Amino acid sequence: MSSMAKGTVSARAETRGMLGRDISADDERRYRAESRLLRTRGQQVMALVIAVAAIGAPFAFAADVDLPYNFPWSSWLNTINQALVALIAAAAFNLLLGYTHQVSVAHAAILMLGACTGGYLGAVHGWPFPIVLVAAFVAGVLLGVVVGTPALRLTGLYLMIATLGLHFIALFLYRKFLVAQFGFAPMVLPAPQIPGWLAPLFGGDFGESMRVRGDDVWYWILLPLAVVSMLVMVNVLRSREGRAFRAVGERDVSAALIGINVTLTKLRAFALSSGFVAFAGALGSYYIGARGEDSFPFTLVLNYAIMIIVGGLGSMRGAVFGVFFFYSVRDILGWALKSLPGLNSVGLLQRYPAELNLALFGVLIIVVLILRPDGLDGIYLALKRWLTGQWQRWRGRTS
Amino acid sequence: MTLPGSGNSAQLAGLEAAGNSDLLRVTDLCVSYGHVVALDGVSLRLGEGDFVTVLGANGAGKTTLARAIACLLFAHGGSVRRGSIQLLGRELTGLRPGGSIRYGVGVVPEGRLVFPRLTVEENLICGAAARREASRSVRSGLSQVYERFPALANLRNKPAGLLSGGEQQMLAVGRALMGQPRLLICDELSLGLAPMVVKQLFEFLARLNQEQGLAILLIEQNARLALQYATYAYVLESGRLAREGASTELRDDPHFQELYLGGAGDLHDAYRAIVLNASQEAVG
Amino acid sequence: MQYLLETTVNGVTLGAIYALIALGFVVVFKATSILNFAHGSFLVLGSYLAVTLLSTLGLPFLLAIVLIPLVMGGLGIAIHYSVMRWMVGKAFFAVVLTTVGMEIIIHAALLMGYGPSDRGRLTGLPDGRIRLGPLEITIVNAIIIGTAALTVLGFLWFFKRTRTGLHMRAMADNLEAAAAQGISPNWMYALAWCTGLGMAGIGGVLYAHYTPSIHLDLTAVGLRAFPAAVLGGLDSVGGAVVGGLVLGLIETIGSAYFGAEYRDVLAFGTMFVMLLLRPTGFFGSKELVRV
Repeated sequence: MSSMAKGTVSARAETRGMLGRDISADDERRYRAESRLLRTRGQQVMALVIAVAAIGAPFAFAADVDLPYNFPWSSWLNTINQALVALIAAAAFNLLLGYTHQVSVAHAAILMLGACTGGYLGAVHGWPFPIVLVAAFVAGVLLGVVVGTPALRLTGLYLMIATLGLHFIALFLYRKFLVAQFGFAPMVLPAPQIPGWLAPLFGGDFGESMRVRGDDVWYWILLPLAVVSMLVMVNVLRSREGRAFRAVGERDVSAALIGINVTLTKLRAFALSSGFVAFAGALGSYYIGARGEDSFPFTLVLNYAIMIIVGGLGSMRGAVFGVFFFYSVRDILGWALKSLPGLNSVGLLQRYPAELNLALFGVLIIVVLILRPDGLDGIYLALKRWLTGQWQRWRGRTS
Repeated sequence: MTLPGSGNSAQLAGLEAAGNSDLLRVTDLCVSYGHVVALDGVSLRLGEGDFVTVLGANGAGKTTLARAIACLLFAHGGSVRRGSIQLLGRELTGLRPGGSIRYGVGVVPEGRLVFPRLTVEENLICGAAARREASRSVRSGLSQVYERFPALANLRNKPAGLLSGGEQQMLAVGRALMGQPRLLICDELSLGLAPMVVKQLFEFLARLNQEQGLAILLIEQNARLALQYATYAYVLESGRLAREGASTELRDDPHFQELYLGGAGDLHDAYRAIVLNASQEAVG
Repeated sequence: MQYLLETTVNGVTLGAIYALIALGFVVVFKATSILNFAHGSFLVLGSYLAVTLLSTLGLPFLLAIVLIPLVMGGLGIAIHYSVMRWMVGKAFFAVVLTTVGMEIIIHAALLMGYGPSDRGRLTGLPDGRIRLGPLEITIVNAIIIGTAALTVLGFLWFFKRTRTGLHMRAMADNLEAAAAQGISPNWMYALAWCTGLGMAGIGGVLYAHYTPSIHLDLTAVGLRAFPAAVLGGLDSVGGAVVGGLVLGLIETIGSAYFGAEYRDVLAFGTMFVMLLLRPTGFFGSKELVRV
């Protein structure tokens, strides 16, 4: 079996062997075209639409719009911001759970690590915001390596159990950390500072450094961070390593037979995932501003599980759907129970909106897993296929 | 009545004339594991007291057929797409997992599949699970099995996982017999066993068939051996029925010999020819 | 010395409850290969049901201790036939996530049914102590240990000595072979879930008399099934009992020494250490099959 050669020279030699001739400029162009992120015209249009919507969103939501039945409008920016932070963590969770199929419930534990890094370096020692974020990422990767190395040798069964234990250990250490550094007060993180020369981008005056406050300013920090994180993760998944992730997740025995180092691949996935989760933990702590001893219950893991399962496991687009779905449904359900005539009179529903929300999601998870494992992403794909079919039929009729 | 791909009607007439009513009738059976088609339109029949073998190479679909009749496809993600399996007129496809056992099907699965942590005796008692008998009749069933397989009697309290291959095979057969089946399906009995042990087992099966009239469906890769004991054979190839016929007929068929019996002569001769050819190529 | 003895007795009491929880968990695992994430909330469900029956409705303890496991056993059968049967044969992670979904639903239902505030310990059992030689043990603890012991023994008798128990053990050994004998997988699974929940139910009732307060975070206590089972060996029924007892002792004695806040860390930390040193636990299976 030929070695997994890295340099272009030997890769060319391999390809030459496969094609039976030398690589031409035509081949290179075709390869480059095929490996572009946005391949088809449809994808490019979609990306453009999303970009326009993303840029226009904060302005749209700042406007004073009155919707029937008091449907929330300006608070959506807050929801979107929360979703953006969660997206990074959820995508990282999906990388582990949806691609390599490693059941790790240490998600909250790693978020705690990120929060602690943020708290220690950012709040206690006053390090600048970007450096703290990077440090959190590094801490996450380190934790992933340290925990993963022994844990991933065991079967998936034992990984889940080990990470469950990790959660409780982390919770204990987190609380100790809080008390040691902040006493009985919650951990407060200072708002990040934008240097004077960047201020105009965020609506401030040039030369005057400003603090990031308010959802409309935070949006312009969270959006690029989320986009960049997603791009990194998507790119890893499109690479050879990403394919190895999938192979290990589907059938690790076969993966080992084709030369994939299964344990190393799992470890890489775990480390990468942990890095981004810790990053999101720190970022989220800055965004929310304060974290207390009850900020990371085990239900947090369950929430993220809901997001990526309902969104569609094993699909980054699904993670996006799932995250926005989760946060939107929360708000919409709350609104519906309060403002919709008919519902706002039912006492039981009124008293327990959060629990109802939770129960709904629990049912959704089970329904998705049994009936439609590709979740919202699957529905999206089916819809797209149907629409494309309609579009082609329409074109066929008019041409 | 002629079946697709069947031999000449005289044979069938011969079988029917022997007075056998259909115990098992498989009609146009299609089974797939997900998208992979394992059986494609297979039909066969088996009468009371028949000793029939299903032959074919690895992957031909023999074990799939056995699983389908025993309602064990679920354990491997398989399902019946089309066709029917009828045991004395009762439809077996669509029954719950292991559902056909209740109606008189006994299975000696491929790989034995004994319960490794249960003792030999516990394994045997499990064999009677479908019949829901009182413990006295289970005990008499046990003593019958111990009579037939004295070696098992000595091992009765040993965990089955510690038995040798031959002992496990005996146990698997004994366990299947505990259910007092009308049809015994034996899947690859000879795999991994010493020839002597295999011979003894097959002799035992033949006796069971002759003395008690127990119908046996023998799934075997070892065609030569199977044809020595079975009276009728079906040959599967890539999920389809390629041939069928009486054992004597198939044994004398040169084409069949070529494909499944290693040539007209000895297996030895065939090997020698291959080796000679290879060494000639190396030298020349 | 007296303190150590008392603490040990408490440890045994807690350990008895843990043994029950672990047993229920392991039975489900052995039979279905499912790591039931919702087991924690099953315990809490049992405790809250005890609150309803004993505190709100004022029923006698003996009635509750029989009724609640019956109800929860029925719920277990319902859970299998409605949800888990569709997940048979699916990938491990998908099945585990289904139990996560169940956990969420039960959690939400309990919140809605009982509200978020804590309940106090159930005090229906007689106060006082009894003397057993050098030991003085509260009646409550004695009842807890006794009930747990009876349940465990009863289950073990069923598992090892009855035909149905044999069929369950057979199915745990090899699902396909069991089906090949006509043993119905669905029915065995349902029975396993029934047993698992029933045990968790009894554990919940008993724990409601032991813990100072009953609240939803008790899922963490119910999740002690994991460390107890890991200690004893994930697929060992006897191991679950031993593991539960050992865990209870470690947790009680450890937290007496280090402080009550260390309870969770002690329990799950022990599990972590066990996973590193000997993942199969005390009595977990080393393969017996000779291929």
